[in-house]
Amino acid sequence: MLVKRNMKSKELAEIIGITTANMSILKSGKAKAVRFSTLEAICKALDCQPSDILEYVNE
Amino acid sequence: MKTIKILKIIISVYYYLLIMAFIMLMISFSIDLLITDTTKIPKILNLPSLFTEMKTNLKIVMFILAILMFYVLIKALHNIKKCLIDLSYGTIFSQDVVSSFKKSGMFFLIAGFVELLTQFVLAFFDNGNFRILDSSMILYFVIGLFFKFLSEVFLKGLNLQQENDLTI
Repeated sequence: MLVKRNMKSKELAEIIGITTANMSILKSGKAKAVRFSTLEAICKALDCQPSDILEYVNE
Repeated sequence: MKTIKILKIIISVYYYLLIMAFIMLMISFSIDLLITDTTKIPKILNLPSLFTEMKTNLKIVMFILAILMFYVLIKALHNIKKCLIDLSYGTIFSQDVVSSFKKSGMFFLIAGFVELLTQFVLAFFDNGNFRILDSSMILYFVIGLFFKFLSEVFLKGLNLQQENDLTI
C-alpha cells in the first residue's frame, strides 16, 4: 500500500503520529493489537480500507 | 514512592543487623566451644543459657541449623532489598522484580522448614515441647506464600505491560 501511494514508512509514521519504532513493530507484525484510532489514521493517510492493509494468515 | 523509600531503609537496616548478628553468633559459638570457663567470656558474646547447657553434639546441630536460618533469612532480605531498589526507581513491572519476589518467597518457605526442623530437633533430642503451630514458623510460611503470590501478580502485570507496549 505504501508503494502504491509512493510513500515512505517514516512519512506515514509522521502523518499518523506514531514513532518510527512503532511503525517498524506494525510492519514486522510483532504488534499485539492496533487501536481503532491508529487504524483510522492509517486508512485516512493511505486513502484505503482496513481490508487493504490487514490480512489473516492461518498459522 | 515515599513509602517504598522508608521500606527500603528499614529492610536495609534489618539486613545489616542480621549480618552482624550472624557474625556475633559465629564468634560466640567458636568461643563457647574453645573456652570451657564461661566466666572468661565477655557478656556480650555469651550464648543463651538454653544453648550452653546443651550437649556438644546437639550444640553443633543447633549451630548448623542457626547458620542455615541466618543464611536463608539474609538471602530473602537481600532479594527484597534488590526488588525494592528497582521499585524505588520506578521500574515496577520487570523480570528482575518478579524473580526477586519469587526467590524471597522461596527463601521464606525454606526458613519455615528450618524452623520446623529446629523445633523437631529440640523436641527429639532435648526433651523440649514440640509445637507444630509455632507462631514464627507460621509467619515464615505465610510470608513465603505471600511473596510467591506477589511474584505471580507482578508477572501478570509484566505481561499486561508488554501487551500494552505492543499495542499501537
